[in-house]
Amino acid sequence: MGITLKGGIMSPRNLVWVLCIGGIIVGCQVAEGLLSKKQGTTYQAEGIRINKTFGLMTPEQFVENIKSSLNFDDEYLLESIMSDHLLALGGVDFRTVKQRSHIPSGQSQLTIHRLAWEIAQKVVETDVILEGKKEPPRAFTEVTIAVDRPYLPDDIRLPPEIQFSIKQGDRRYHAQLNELYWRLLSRPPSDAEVENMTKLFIQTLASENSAVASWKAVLFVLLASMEYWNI
Amino acid sequence: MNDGTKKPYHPSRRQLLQTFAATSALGTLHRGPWGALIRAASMAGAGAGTMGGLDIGTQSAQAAEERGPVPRLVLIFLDGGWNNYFAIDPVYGKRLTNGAFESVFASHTLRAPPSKPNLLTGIGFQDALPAFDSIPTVFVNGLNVEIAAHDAAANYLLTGRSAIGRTLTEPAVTAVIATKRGGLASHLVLGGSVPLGETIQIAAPLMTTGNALGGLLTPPGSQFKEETRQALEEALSAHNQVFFSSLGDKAIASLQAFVDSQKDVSNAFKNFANKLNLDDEMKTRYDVASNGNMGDFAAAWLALKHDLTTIVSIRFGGFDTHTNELNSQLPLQRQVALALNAFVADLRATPDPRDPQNSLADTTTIVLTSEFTRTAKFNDTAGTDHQNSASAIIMGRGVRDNRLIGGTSETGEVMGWDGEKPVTKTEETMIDGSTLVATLLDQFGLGEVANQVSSRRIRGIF
Repeated sequence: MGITLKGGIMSPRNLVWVLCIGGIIVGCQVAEGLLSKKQGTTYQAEGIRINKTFGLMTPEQFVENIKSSLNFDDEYLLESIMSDHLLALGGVDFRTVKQRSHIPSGQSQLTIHRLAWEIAQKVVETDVILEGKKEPPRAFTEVTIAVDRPYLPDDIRLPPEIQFSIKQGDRRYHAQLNELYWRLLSRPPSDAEVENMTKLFIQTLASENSAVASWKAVLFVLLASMEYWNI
Repeated sequence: MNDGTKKPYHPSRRQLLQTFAATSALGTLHRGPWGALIRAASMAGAGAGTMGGLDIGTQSAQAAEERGPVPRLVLIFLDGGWNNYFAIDPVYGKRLTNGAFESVFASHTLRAPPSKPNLLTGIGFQDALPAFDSIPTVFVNGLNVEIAAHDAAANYLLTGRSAIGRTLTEPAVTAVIATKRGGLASHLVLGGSVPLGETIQIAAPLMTTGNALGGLLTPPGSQFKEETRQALEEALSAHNQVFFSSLGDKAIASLQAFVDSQKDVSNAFKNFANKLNLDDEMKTRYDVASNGNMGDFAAAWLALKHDLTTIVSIRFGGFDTHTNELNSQLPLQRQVALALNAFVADLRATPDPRDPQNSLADTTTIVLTSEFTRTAKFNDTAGTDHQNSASAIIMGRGVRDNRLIGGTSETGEVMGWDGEKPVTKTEETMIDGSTLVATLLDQFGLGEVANQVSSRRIRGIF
């Protein structure tokens, strides 16, 4: 039964259309909200708990991951991971070790720290060079590495035009942080993580006087993290 | 399927170790040499009367906590097959005239340490004479090599057992002894890998090169200011905590091993950072400029000095000199001899960190060997080929002094050993890789395992 007259503006057929279109709009908004890369929309904020079984990433997976997620192409380092660090990362050479280990040892951890630091440095430095040449960066696509930084409370004392510029950089900083999380961890950072990383960025900037150093520190933390290495 | 009693996730390392012995796989191993090791570990760690205790995890943890004096072992392996006629089985007497040896040997002057006439040394290893003179040393020659192919022969010398195929399934003697030790580096492997077999699940070694060891134990961001480095550590810890807080019980349990091993790293950075880097003076002393691999000797000394480990394996490549013997094998031997000399001098001058009354030379046994020796005659390209015999230099703790064990004939053929002198080779008198490994295992308190490798020992070394 129609709400008004048969064939009128609110006929049952039209009502179905309205509901469908409305449903699609609402659905899109919900989906956008869920998939948004904006802060505060992570599983942690939603109280979702991960309860799967984790195992250490294999050296082969690690090499493929940094190649694809960071466009890392330092052949020397990539080869050394497979030759010098294969067994340390639980790999198998089928000669002296015939059984893969997903259980990390002290050696695995030392190697993870070493590689995370080396790769973080190389990725950032490569993009700084590309930035200087006005060529497309590989991993730092959202930010001007050496310039952009978070907006600090003390910045309020600066002239408005400088503040405006810093705020633009702040937006790019957050976009880049999001970008790194998506590339390496396939998710956006939680509010707590943004706070943690921004604290590290600012501390490093203050002590080393270099946003480049700050990005190295941030990328290192992601590459050495428990979440990154356990899949 | 999870029935509620079995863990459906990866167990932690400790859990794995504790349950390892109960698995059917280990049940199989129990019938072999590993059974003897496990029983020996139980006896040694928990005292007699605990034969039923197959708890390797507990044994390993106890070993890690033991800080008392322990015998140390350094195994130096020259990959490719060294030419022993330049080293500890030199050419003199009838060998110079019987036509079996290259004529160039006649021009070589042989020398022995002043107080040890039995240790006659060829020109390749004479730079190590002060080392031979300063600590107890024996030369072992005439170890029988059945198959003079690199992998098979190396495996036999390292493990005492034959390998079927190219996969080395049995652990090296150092890896076996390391299962009785604990800590971050129960076994330090420098310059190449050694067969680890199942021991990798019990006592994973620290594997790197001497020049890279210091870097591995240096915390990331070390070029930054201390406050930055501190901030890095805190940020990583905070990131991991946020992640951890989002996990359920199953996920947390599966990550326990990762969390545990992170503690190892914190301790390693705290205890060893900047202590294992080779400085310029060390590089000069070990002649790293001539051969970068000699840094492995220096790193081994530093690792023992700072008690990073008690067991070290070092592998040096390049000895498979099928061409131009005098310009390839000989310089390489001299580099090793010089570095060995520096190594022994450093061990003598360094108190054992666990036993300061004694020097590291008093508490460390050094074994230098290679998969086989090389032919007495040069080939068409002035190099040498593989010979079915092997040799070893054994020095330091527990070693009898100034002794020549085993031997080869006037034409370089392997002879037997009756405990006093070389004799005709028979099944009873033959010495080889398995008897050498068994002798070492015995010396390090693993008599039962040794018996599984060989029922015989090489008499006269220890």
